Amino acid sequence: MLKLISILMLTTFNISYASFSLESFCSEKILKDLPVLQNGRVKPFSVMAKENISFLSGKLMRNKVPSYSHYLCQLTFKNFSKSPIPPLMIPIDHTETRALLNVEDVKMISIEEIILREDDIKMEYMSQKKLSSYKKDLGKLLQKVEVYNNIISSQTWSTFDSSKLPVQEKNLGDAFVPLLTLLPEISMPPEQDKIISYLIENKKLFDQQNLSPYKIEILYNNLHLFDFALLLALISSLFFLFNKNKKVHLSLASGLLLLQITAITLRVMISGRAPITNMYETVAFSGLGALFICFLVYLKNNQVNYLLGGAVYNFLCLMMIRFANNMLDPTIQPLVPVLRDNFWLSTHVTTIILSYAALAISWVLANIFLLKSIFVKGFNKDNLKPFASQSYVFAKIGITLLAAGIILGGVWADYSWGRFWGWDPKETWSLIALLFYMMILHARYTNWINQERFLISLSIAFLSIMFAWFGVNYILASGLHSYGFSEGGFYFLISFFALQFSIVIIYQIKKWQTGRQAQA
Amino acid sequence: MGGFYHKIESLFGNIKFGVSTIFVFAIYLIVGTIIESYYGTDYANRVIYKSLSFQILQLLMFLSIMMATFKRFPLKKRLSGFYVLHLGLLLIFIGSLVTYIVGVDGILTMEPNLPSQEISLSEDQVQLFDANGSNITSVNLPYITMTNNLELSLGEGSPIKIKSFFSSAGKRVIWKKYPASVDTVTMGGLYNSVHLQLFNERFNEKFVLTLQNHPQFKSNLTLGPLSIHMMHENIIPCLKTQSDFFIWNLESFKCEEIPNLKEGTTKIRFKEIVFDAKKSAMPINLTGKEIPNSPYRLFNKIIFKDNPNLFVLGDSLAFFNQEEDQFTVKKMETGKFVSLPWMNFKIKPITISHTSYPEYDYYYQRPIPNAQGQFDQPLKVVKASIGEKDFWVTNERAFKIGDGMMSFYLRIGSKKLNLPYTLTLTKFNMDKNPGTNSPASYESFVNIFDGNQTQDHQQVKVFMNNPLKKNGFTFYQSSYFPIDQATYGSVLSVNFDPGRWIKYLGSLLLVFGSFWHFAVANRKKSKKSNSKPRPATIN
Repeated sequence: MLKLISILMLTTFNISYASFSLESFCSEKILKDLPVLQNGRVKPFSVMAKENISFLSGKLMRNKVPSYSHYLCQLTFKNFSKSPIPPLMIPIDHTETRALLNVEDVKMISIEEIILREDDIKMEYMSQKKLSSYKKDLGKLLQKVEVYNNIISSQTWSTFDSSKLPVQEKNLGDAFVPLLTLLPEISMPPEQDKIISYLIENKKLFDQQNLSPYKIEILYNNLHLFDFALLLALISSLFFLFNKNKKVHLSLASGLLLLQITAITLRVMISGRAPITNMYETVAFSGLGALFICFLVYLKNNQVNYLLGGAVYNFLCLMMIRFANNMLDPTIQPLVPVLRDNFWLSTHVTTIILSYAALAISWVLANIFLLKSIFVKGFNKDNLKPFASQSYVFAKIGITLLAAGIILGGVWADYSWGRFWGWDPKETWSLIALLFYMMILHARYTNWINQERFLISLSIAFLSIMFAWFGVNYILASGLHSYGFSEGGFYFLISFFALQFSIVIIYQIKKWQTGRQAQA
Repeated sequence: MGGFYHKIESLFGNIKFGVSTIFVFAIYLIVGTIIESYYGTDYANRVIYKSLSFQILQLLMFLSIMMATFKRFPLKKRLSGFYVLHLGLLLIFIGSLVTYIVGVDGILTMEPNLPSQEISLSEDQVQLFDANGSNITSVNLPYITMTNNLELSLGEGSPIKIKSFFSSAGKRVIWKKYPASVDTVTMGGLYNSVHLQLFNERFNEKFVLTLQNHPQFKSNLTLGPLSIHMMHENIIPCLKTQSDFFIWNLESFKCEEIPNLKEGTTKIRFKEIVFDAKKSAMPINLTGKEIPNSPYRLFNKIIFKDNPNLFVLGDSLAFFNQEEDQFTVKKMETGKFVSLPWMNFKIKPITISHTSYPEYDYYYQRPIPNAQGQFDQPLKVVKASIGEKDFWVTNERAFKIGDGMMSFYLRIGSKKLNLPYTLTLTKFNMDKNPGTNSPASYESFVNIFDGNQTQDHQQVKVFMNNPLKKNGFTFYQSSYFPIDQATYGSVLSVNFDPGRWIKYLGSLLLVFGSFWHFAVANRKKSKKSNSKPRPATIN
């Protein structure tokens, strides 16, 4: 008798399963703007899906799966549908990991195969005594398994449960529940229409509470402001380099400023804090800051060509945040306790990043001079003066801001940890950078070095800023400042240093060659 | 005299000296950050940041700045920004000097509901305690990485001398031969010592066991659920039999079977003595009182049958084999491992000896990061001596001198500062990020008991960015540590910085002076450029 009943139940189950269509349920339309809670923050479903899936597999194989939201939904509901889901492929980069998993010849391996080998990976991880790059890679793989398991068990998709109302902003976590645990109350086996209407109803109720800026985040992601800014920055830089029309310059720069101020303001509204809490944000902010500083200097001196350095540097920063996402993480994460003081965060870090921006402008101008001297015929030391004097202006601004920023950092550290200066690598390196600029300025001040040497020194001195900004996080990675540590920055820095030194060396060689030709 | 001063002024005050000093200073700092990433903050402090050469370098910078300023006397109006800026720098140096000499920087560890008043500072000391745990005297160790040429005494005219100091050390086991006066031939079993390695997939540890009374090693060890006991090898024959009890003779070092032993009995008769197996291994007389001076002891095999218990007996291992319901004895061979029946453990003897005894030997090594890349408190050792005898004192465990009431303990500890009031942690709160396990913020509720005040105590809340200030001291929420499932202890960092306001004033002057100086220079520049033709444009 029992057997008969269970067979009956199974057949009804299967019939109900057939009515649940992943294709139509998991469509962008329904899912994209749903509010979900993850990592301590309510965000749009599409953002959560993108963060999770791209963490697991990098870029999705576009031709097989329509979108991140669709795929994450499929994974969550995969037990309720008979249609097959494209396998999730994980890239394996580390050579030792590849050897362990026997995938020397392929680049990717499916998550199911990794889960089969999970115990081996754990043993290998525990047996590594030192925190080598192999151990880190294994650790990351284990993390990915955990993230995947959370997705398929619906822990990741946590939806608003209106029965938990009323709720306060700081207890939001209590009102969000994994979706599949709610389903038995809605219906089991899941009936598509019921779930859809439930989700839409709950979204309305949540929106009424006005507890979260996640709708602004939807707008922010739809506008793609930084992508437009990148395009505009490219156009502006080319115009600044080759065209002399003042009105065109001004309108391009204003447009660029406006786009980025909007983008950053939206980001501030979403995150609830100043836009300088991880590497992505500091790079984006420094790009805007440079253009802004140039604008201020232009307004004081009424010379439009002051905008050039800012536009070029802005373009470089926008390129980095668009393409270097392994190094610069665009997601918005919760802050560690010590960063939670908005006043000091806003003042100290902002001042430092603006100082980096100003010094970067002097670096850009110095390099434009060097590159033009190498590649443009007839361009030589006679064209030096405007570059040198402009660089000097921005270097002075940068140095003053840097000194002020270092001191603000000391006061914040004194207020937070009880010591003004602790020789922490980040603060020490900001001091090292300041010292290098001080040497150059002092040497220039007494004419120990001439204008040409001054300009070249400015291009090399910026490397100390790059080390203070990136090197401490990606190469040294110790001390109180390593909040946003990740891999990949090492190669970036090495290339950066090598490129800068090459430009200077080639410049010197060319100078020496032209000198010999002149003599001959 | 004036000529001499002018020489000094032009030597220290000229720009090339200034720039060179800045350059060397920057190099020191670069090296410091690299050293810190390899060997940790404490090591970097000892080598660079708190080293004598670095202090001298800072003195040279100070002189350079001061002389460069004096060189530009008498005061000129256009250099106002310059004077203010450089005065600011000088004040920062002076403030730092004041902090260095008079300031206090330490940590206060608080366990819940336990009054604390002892601040741990960063300097190391060798400390002497009496049998009750009170500190008798201590001597400061130099803040360097290591030395073999110390000539310190622990207290005025004390016989305890300190010769070497290693701020981070490694240790290894060395073996020393027993002197000829010790009969290791006939009494070999008594002098057994072993160095063993125990491991499975998750665990890998080496340890030493010895039968003799030893300041560093014991005869038994507990590792989680596993207990390891080292005993005289002569119990082996009695261990192998089926009986639940046997007698061990402390004078002859032999074991004896108990004749007529009944199954399940707990009152055991042996010759003219009685044992109560439920109470103890000591023999008792008819009234139930223990017989002192008796060489006989009862060995109860039953208590070692259920839980994992491993016996090390000479060069053999023994454990209760559940399947065969008897004790298995296996001989050990150096370098070969023996499988144990619990948790996939394997045990491998590194050294077995009854003619030599083991000792820890310490050597200097640079700090090594742990598996998470952090630098824990390292092993610190000094080599001390009393008369001709050398011995090691560490920060891991106390070294005992003397016996009973006249025992003294030596160890390396941090210098302490006692507050005139106590702080007690009554509650520790931790807020987590919603839906996660990572701490968003944490706070300590602290009771201050200041015996001088008429009111009993005050209650304050200390949390990140909200420190407690009292009597010029500032207490900051620094971190926490778990005590058990739900309770945490709190760590406050304590700071007393009388140089603070001098440094702040200096910083203000520095920034203000920079603005002023650059603004003046700018004005002069733009005045010049207005009278000249426009400079060529960039493109």
